[in-house]
Parts: sequence; C-alpha cells; structure tokens
Amino acid sequence: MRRAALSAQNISSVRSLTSTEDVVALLKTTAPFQQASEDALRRIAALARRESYAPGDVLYRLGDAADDLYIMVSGRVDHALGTGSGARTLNQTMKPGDVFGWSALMKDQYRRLAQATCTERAELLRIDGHALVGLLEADPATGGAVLSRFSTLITQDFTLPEELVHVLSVAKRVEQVPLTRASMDDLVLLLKKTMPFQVVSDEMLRRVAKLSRRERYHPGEIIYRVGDQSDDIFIMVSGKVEHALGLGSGARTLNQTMNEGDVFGWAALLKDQPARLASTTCLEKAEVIRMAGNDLIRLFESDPATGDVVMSRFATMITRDFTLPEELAQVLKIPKRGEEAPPTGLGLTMYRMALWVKSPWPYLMVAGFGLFLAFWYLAVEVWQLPRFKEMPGITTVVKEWLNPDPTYGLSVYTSEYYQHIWVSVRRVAIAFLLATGLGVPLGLFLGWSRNFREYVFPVFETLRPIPILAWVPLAIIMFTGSETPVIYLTFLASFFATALNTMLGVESIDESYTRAAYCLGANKWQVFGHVIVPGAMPFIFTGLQISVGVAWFSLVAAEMVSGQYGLGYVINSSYMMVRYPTIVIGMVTLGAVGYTTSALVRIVGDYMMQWRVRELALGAR
Amino acid sequence: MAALDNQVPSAVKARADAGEIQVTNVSRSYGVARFAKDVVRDCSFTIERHKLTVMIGPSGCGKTTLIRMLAGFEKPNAGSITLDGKPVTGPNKDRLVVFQETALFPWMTTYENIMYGPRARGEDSQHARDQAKFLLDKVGLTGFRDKYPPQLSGGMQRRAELARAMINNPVVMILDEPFRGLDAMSKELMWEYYAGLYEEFRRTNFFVTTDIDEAIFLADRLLIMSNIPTRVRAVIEVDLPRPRRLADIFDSERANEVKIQALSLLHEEAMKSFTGGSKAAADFVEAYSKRMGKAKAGA
Repeated sequence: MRRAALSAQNISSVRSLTSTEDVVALLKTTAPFQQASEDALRRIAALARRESYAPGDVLYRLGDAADDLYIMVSGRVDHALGTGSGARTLNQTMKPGDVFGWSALMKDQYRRLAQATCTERAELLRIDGHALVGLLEADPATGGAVLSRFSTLITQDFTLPEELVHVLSVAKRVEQVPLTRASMDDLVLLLKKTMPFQVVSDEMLRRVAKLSRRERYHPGEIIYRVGDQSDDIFIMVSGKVEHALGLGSGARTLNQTMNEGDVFGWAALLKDQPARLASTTCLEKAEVIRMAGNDLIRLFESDPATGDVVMSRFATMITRDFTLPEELAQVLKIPKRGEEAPPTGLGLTMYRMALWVKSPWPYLMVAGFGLFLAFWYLAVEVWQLPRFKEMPGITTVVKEWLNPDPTYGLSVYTSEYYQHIWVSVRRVAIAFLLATGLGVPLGLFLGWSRNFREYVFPVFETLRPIPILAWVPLAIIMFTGSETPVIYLTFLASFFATALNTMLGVESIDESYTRAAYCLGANKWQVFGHVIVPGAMPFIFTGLQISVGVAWFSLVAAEMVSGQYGLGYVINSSYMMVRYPTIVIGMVTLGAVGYTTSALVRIVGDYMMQWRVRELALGAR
Repeated sequence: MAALDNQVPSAVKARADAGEIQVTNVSRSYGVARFAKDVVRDCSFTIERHKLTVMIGPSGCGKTTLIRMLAGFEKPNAGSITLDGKPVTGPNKDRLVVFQETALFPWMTTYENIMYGPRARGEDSQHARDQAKFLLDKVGLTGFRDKYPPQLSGGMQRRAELARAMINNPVVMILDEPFRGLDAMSKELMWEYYAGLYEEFRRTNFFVTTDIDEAIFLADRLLIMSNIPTRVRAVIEVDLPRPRRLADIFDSERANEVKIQALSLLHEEAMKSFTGGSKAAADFVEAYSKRMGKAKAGA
C-alpha cells in the first residue's frame, strides 16, 4: 500500500546490502548527514535498503503517503514539486548524493508534495522516515544537527516557503552546554545587556548566572507552547527564536523575533499566570540561558531592593515591548522579609525608620550636629570670638546638664528638670488639642459654606495677625491664676494656624469630587463627611504640624511673662539669676521636645491618610 | 462566566421603557446685561432611548455647559430638558456623569469608590455588594479591589469610574470626554472596551468628545455641534454594524464616508469661528481628506 505507485516489477532488484561501510560512505556525501558521527551513520545505514528503478518508474506521486526518504546512489530522478507546495522551482533533477522524499520528515505533512520519476536507470537508498526519526530521537545531539540540516536543505534547494518547512522536532534533543568559569563571565556580560538586569550589580549577576543553564536549540524546535507550565525564563545568547503570543494574551503585537540579549518566557514571573501565554519556536540554531523563575525570585528575596528594581523593569519590558495589557503584566512581588502587605500606619513609620538607618542620611545628620557643636566649642572656648565669648561654652553646659549635683540647681538628675518639661508639655498638649478641636471644624465650615465664611472670615483675619505678646495683658485680665492665661495664649496661636490651613484645604478640593458625590446620590452632609473632610486632610495635617510648632513658641513667650514652671520660665528666670548654662539647657530641651511632638503629629497623619501615604511614600519607593 | 451571568443583577440591565432625554429650545448665557455671552442658544435635540449618542463639536463650543445642564448642575435660562417626560431639576443618579478629569475619590479604595453610590443612599446590601463584585470583574479590576486610585493606571481609573457609574443603574449615562488625556494606545483599547460594555447593557449613553475617530467608532447617532452659541448642526446616523472592532471599523468604506462628511461639517464650523478663516484648520482637513483618499486608493 505504501508503495502504491510502484508496480512489483519496478523493484527490479533489491540487492542484499553491500557492506555497511559503503552506505556510510555514501551518507557522508549527502548534505544532511555530513556531520554525523561514524557511529550514528552506521546505525542509520542499518535502516537503509538499496533499490534500483528503471527509466519511467514513478517512485511516488503527489498526495501519496509520505513514509520514506530517498538518497540517490546513481542514475537520475526528476523531482516535480506540486504547485500546492508553494515552491518557486518546481522541477529538479536529482543526482547522486541528493536527498529527496523529505516529506517523510516533515511535521503535519503526511502526503507527498512532489512526484518523483526515474529518468535514467537509478539506484537509491531508501530509509523509513519513522525509523529514522526514532533513531535520531535516541541520539539528540546528532538528531538535532541532522534535522536542522534537513530544514536548511529544504528551504535552500527546494525554495519551499518557510511556514511549510517544519521538520519533525526531536523530543528532548536539547543540548546542555556545560558552564565553565570563563562562560560564567560571558554570562554576566550577557545578563548586563538585557533590559531587566541592566542595573544589577556584578556580584548579584554572578549569583543569577549560577542559577542558569545554557542550552542549544535547533531550527524548527519548539521551546514551549501556549498553555505549558511556565517555570523558566529564557535569555537569548545567539540565534533567533520566534515568540508568538497567544490570542488570549490580549497583546497587540502577536509575533516577535527574539535576538541576542532578548528575554522571553517571562510568564514564569507573572502573578496568577502559571501557564505560557506564547509559543516559542527556534528559527535559527539558537543558544539560550534558562533559569527557573522561582529560583530567581528566591534569590531576589535576599536582596529585595535589587529584586524590586528588576521586577519592575520586567513589568515595564512586558508592557512596552510586548504590549500586553497592564493588568496581565503583574509581575510577582518580591516578598520583604516579615512583611508581605505594604506597611501601614506605625508599620510604615518603622519601615521608614529602618530605611533611614540603612541610608547615608543618618551620617549626614550626625555630621551636621558634629559641625554645629564643634563650632560652638571652638567659637566660645578656643577662639573666644568677640560675641561668643560671653556665651556659656559647650563643656560647661554639658557638665552642668549631666551633673548629679548641679551648680545652678537644674540637671538630668534633678526632679525639677522633669517637672518643668512635664508642665510645658501638658500646657502645649491641652492648647494644641483645643486648637485642633475648634480650629479644624471652623476651617472646614469656612471653606465649605460661603455664607459662614462671609460672616466669620473678616473677623478671623483681623484677629489673626495680632502677636501673642499683645494678648498677654488681656489674657491675664480674662483668666485667673497662672495656668489658664498661658494655655489660652498658646491655644490662640495654634488655633489660627490650624483653622486657616483647614480652610485652604477645603478650597483645594477639586470640584469634580463634590459633583461626583452629588451625582451618585449623596446629600449635602454626606458630601461634607465623605468628600470635604477627607479631601482637606492633607492640608489639615500640614496645618497641624505648623500649629504644634507655633504652640511651642507662643508657650515660651507666655511662660516668660507669667507662670511659675515650664521651660520658658526656666529660661527667663535663669537669665534673671545669671545662670547662663541653665538657659542653654532649657533651650536645648525645648528643641528636643518640640521636635518629638512634631514627629508625633506626622505619624498620626500617616496613620489617618493611608491613601496619601501610599500615593506619596510608596510611590517613590 | 456562566455563574456570573446568572448573578447579573437585574438592576444592572437597562430598563426597557426608560432613557430618552429631550432637549427643547434650551438657551444658556453667562454674565449679565451687556457682558452676557450666549453659550447655548435655542438648542434642541433628542438623546434616543438605548442608543449611544455621541456629540462632537469644536473645542470650546459649549459642550460642557450642555452636560452640566443635562446633569442638573445648572439650569437653562430658557427651554426645557426632560427625561422620559419629566423635567430635569437637579443632579440625580438617573443621569450619571463620568467626567473629563478622573473624579474617583483618592481616599477610597477601588471597591469603596464603586460602592459609594449605594452606600450614600443607604443601600449597602448583599445585593449591592454582589453587583460591585460583578462589575469589578466586568471592568477587569478584581485584583485591584483594595488599591487606591493613584495606584491605578489611567485606563484602569477610567474603567473604575465606569463601574462606579454603572452600579447605580442610571437610566442615562453621560460621559464628558472620559478618555481625554489617555495615551493613544490605551485610548483605543478603552474605545473597544467601552463599546463592548455598551453593547452588553444597551442603556442610553450620551458621549461627548472632540475626537472624530472616537466619535465614529462609538456612535449610533452623531450630533455635530455648531460653534458657540451651541446648536445642533447635523445629525449623522452611524449605521456601522455592532459589535465593533477597531480593525473592522477603520477599514470600512462607510466609516470613511461618515468621517469625511463629519470632518467637512466640523471644518465649516471651525472656519466660521475665526473671522478670516483658520488656515490651520483648513490645512488640517485638507491633509486629512488627502490621506483618506490615498488610503482608499491603496485598498
């Protein structure tokens, strides 16, 4: 049946095989088998049968089942390609050493594409295609080379269109290329050329290189198909592969040819994407580096900073070069040690602290303080510069401050010191909370209601510029005792700062938000609660930071004028009693406590404005 | 998907008998007395039920003013606007507007934004939550449920906004240049995407744009507006088949015809608006017609 085209007498003589050596020698002269080893050829020779044909014999016709491969030993055979084959040269005469009937090796091509007719008495070697492929599969190294030469032969000599020439691929005939020290260096250089790894340190690249395997593929081979499990990513070293994105990927450019340094197989790094989105076929003999996606991610876990950068570059590459829709190109996140979700609130503050400690900034800070203190020391105690020599020197101050038995009665060992701090902090806290509690609502309404604003704002603006010291006499007349006037004065300054900033915050809210809320069915009060308040929040917290600072300096002014305790009182009374080092102790303490309260306000703000924190802080990460 | 289809809350589907807006002799001017400037004068048109009507006109022609009146943020000086016979008096969830600029609340997550309408109206029911889930899936943002808007890309933000409007099952959706400011590629993706949504739900949509390709790709009816003061200059029925795909539409002869027709009308309007004629606008249209002619000859 297989030889339907041949009548029995065409097979005029099936000579028993002459020596295998003859066949091997012949095979060696053919293009596809030239490079195969002696050993492999011997095995191929064992499959071959020698046949002779008379002129006029038809070996096969168009559309016959394509089972065998022929090699000319002597004589002439005309090979007429069918028009359906898309070939440009339809007729060819086969001479000794020529190979034909290669449809037997083609994928998806079970029929003859041509007719082969004997024109002179011919002797042929005939090899069963199936058996040959089986043999080549058993020896991938030879198999790959032979099949790739076949496909070259078919496109070159027969000028068949490329899409037809998919010779059978030999399963697992991937060649592993051993990695040596020298090739490791090459690998690092190559990785450096790829878009995602460009920015990675050499040391890290070396570790990436260690994860890699180097493999060779032959033309026509499929590296992976759509839907295969996506484990590994690939980087092209040489050759050409075609990357055809599946339709389901939603990509706009479905086909891409990969060249040296290109990265593919990145589905291994995609989140929620366990399967290949594309098929990748080798076009020219290709060498690739291959590494397991999971290994890569594990490696980056040890260095999340680099990992993040590489991953985000992967994401960019995927959306930019492959024009995949963004929601698909969600690369895996490098989990940070101990925290998976983006940090929030206090966690974020800790995270920032940790980053800060690791960064060069703390050293700059220390250097800054060092310079400042050194100047103080030199100017006062060493150089004794004109204005400075009257000032208490740093050594005097520190000695006094850390003295268990202070000369002027105030040091870290005296309970009085803490009492002063406590009194001041308490006053600022009360005043600040009052100012916030009254100032924020006032600001919100000022910004929100035009009518309310027309009533109140002019009065507000008239009172706001009056300096705190100008309020002192009235405060003393209005309130009895020494505590309330001080709190009142402190409150006043921070109240104005808070209210004004809150009002500006409301004004800053884009009208589209309120319009959208009304449109969605919110009533006036819902708009106030859901849009105005959260929308003004960033300004409110800016205002609160200013207000807590203002509270401290109006507190000191107030304490200098009235009151019996507090840091302002310490400074003022020490001046009266000529205790200069104590003045400086009061000042430094004031600075430190003020800095702390300001930081606290910032932390609370971060906690309350998650959305903004993620927008600003994490956006920059 | 089948499971989801069963859950497609009936409320997300367009109501069969509602959704026609009638604009009758509407005028609107700004400023007083001598400084008054008519923005819209004696403007009448119908936004037909369950159709996608696209309004296109030269920029600054008063389209946004019309939208504000349709939405109910402003009242016309004269004339009437009715929805299914009832006069429009103020903003209402019947007529939802998706604005030019993204108006997602940055302090709410994607999910909270979508649920805002139902929650504001006190309808935070299981039903509403199911709808939100369904719509999140529909607009491809299930994985971005708990992200804040600034963490989404431009296209995602627009889709979230579409979902936020759709969950309220408005009778009419009004879109004011919603894809302005997106890059060309996301924009085209959004066109297909939005056309798909419309084709699925078939509610009355009123879409305002200045982009002729966008207009032709999306529209059932194309309202071409005159220059200020705004009136309807022409109505073109865009009888291209649905569902629409970018490749089909821009290869189609009919789309080219509509485009040339619309461009010449727009061109006339642009010419009118500048005394002495806007050379730039004329050049633009000429170049465009040439290009289209070439494209045809090539095909």
